[in-house]
Amino acid sequence: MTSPAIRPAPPAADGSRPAHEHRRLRLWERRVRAAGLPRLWAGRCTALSDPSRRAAAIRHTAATFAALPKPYRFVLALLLRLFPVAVALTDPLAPLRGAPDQARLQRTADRLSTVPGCAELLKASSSLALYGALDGPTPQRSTTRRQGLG
Amino acid sequence: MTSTARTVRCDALVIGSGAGGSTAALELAGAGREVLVLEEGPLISQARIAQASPPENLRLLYRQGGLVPIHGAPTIPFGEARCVGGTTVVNGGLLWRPPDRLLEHWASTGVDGFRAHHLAPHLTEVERRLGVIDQSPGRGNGDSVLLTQAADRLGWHWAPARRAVRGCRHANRCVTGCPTGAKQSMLVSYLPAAEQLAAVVQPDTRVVRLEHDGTRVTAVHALRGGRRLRYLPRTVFLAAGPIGSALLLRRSAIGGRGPGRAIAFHVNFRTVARFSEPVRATEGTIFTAQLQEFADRGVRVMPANLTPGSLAAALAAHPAGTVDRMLAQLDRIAVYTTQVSVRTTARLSAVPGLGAVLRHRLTGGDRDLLRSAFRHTAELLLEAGSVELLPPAPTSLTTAAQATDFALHGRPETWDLISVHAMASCRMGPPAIGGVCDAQGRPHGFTNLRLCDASVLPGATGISPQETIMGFCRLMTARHLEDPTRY
Repeated sequence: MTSPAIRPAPPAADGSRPAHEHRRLRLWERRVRAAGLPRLWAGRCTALSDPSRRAAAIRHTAATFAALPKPYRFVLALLLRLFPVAVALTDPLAPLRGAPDQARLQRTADRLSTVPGCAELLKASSSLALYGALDGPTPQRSTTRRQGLG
Repeated sequence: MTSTARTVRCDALVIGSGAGGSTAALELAGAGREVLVLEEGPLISQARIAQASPPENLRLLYRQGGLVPIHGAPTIPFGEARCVGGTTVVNGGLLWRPPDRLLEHWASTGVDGFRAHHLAPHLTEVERRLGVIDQSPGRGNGDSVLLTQAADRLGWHWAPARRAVRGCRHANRCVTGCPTGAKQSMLVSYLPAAEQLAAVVQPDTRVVRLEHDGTRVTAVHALRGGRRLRYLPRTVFLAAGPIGSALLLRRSAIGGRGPGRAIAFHVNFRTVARFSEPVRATEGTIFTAQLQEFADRGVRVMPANLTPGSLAAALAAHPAGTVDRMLAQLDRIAVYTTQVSVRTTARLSAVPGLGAVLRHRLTGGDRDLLRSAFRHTAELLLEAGSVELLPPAPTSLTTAAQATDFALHGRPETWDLISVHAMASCRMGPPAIGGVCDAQGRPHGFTNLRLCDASVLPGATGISPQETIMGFCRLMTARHLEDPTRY
């Protein structure tokens, strides 16, 4: 009665990533960058100032967001679009002050942590980013020793 | 998606390959049944787990990268795996026997046949097959040693960790997949054994609906790579996990509104402890000792895997500068998990496009229990020599008075809580008291559908539930094989 055994097809995780998944990942990486989150993450942890760690942080955060169910992705995409507005409202004189220093980034992040929606986005993305950056593959141009992580 | 479904006839169809499904698959295959196991998630080989980084494994192995929310105050992320081997691939490999008193309590609620003497031979066999041992500390388990020393000084009871491992090499990556294969997850133990007995495991196959006539499942509808599949099994063993099984019953209109109406779960919070001397917690296995002094109240304390990323992620909501300060002293840091068996339950709603939406509402009693659990945790860690505690809220505590104040006035509805144990979503028991299944795991009125995972447990275990799940499933499967017409 039983059909011949169906052996598993090689899963995508073990092989190459399908093109549409690759495109979706790139799209989410762009959204995360455009929202300005990476600068704020760096305000939480100086190790994320390192470009390779920052790239790992963006990759992990974007890949996790991209794998969420569609309704959650829709809400996240909306929040990411609105996030720069919240940042601007939190620090309206930022354009006059030039490049933000660490202390200003930290203050901005602390203020955003009290704004509903932004707080959740900042907290969830910071957790993902820190995990992705610090436990991800060792960056080629590591600053581990400088950051006191070794 | 094609318009016509391919039809597959089969004997025993097991849906899910975690602790429950794998146990059923092996027992059925060992008895000569022809077994087909359908797993929604991918097959991630042991080699691939070893090769990938922890963040990659988090995305590969966990459902939604570990971001399944239980909505409420606070929203609690629920971590469960979605891969061949299920959550056993990403848990701590802890196998605790269900306490006799718990089994007696369950029996008193109308679920008989699962007392200690019924389960004992099955638990013994599970432990033998998985090589369960008292885990000894490695070079980096100073966090566990400190816990035991402090507990001894306080006169508190602790127990060595009972783990399913063969030659643990303390790789410190238990919860993102053991890279050495020492942890005896279903991926490296039960499933290969079942395959040797001709069972077939088919990953990437998501069951979407059970077709039935009110007493028998007549067909199982699934999707695989966009293709529709229709299985015609003699018997269905549903082991899609506490959320997945309840969701599938809801979608299939089985059990009315019972499945997922009251899901028991444990919540965990983490306390970061800084010591004045090196602890080297990054070089050890998950933990080798657990505080059980308050187990009767549903509270257990144990160390957690520590990595730079997990530490930083746990502190993401703390004031700026905290992460850098803690990372700079990583060798003196240990993270402790406090597991609390809350009285409230989560409720599942089946929402198109989202799947299962979970909600909880912590009661006042639960909040008191969480505060009390933190007070015990802080007392233990300060006794262990911790010079600073970072609780599950953005503050820092350096004295016993501060810790007591936090425990008294903390607001658990704002704490960082997580959950990795859910159960009893389709609990056994008479319908009059909310039971969905009979003592054989069959939804009331059904004959060829059996639930065999955490969903059928009559309530919260208070302990890591893997051994309880496996014991229940092995016993239920054995009874079915002895007398299929009765059981």
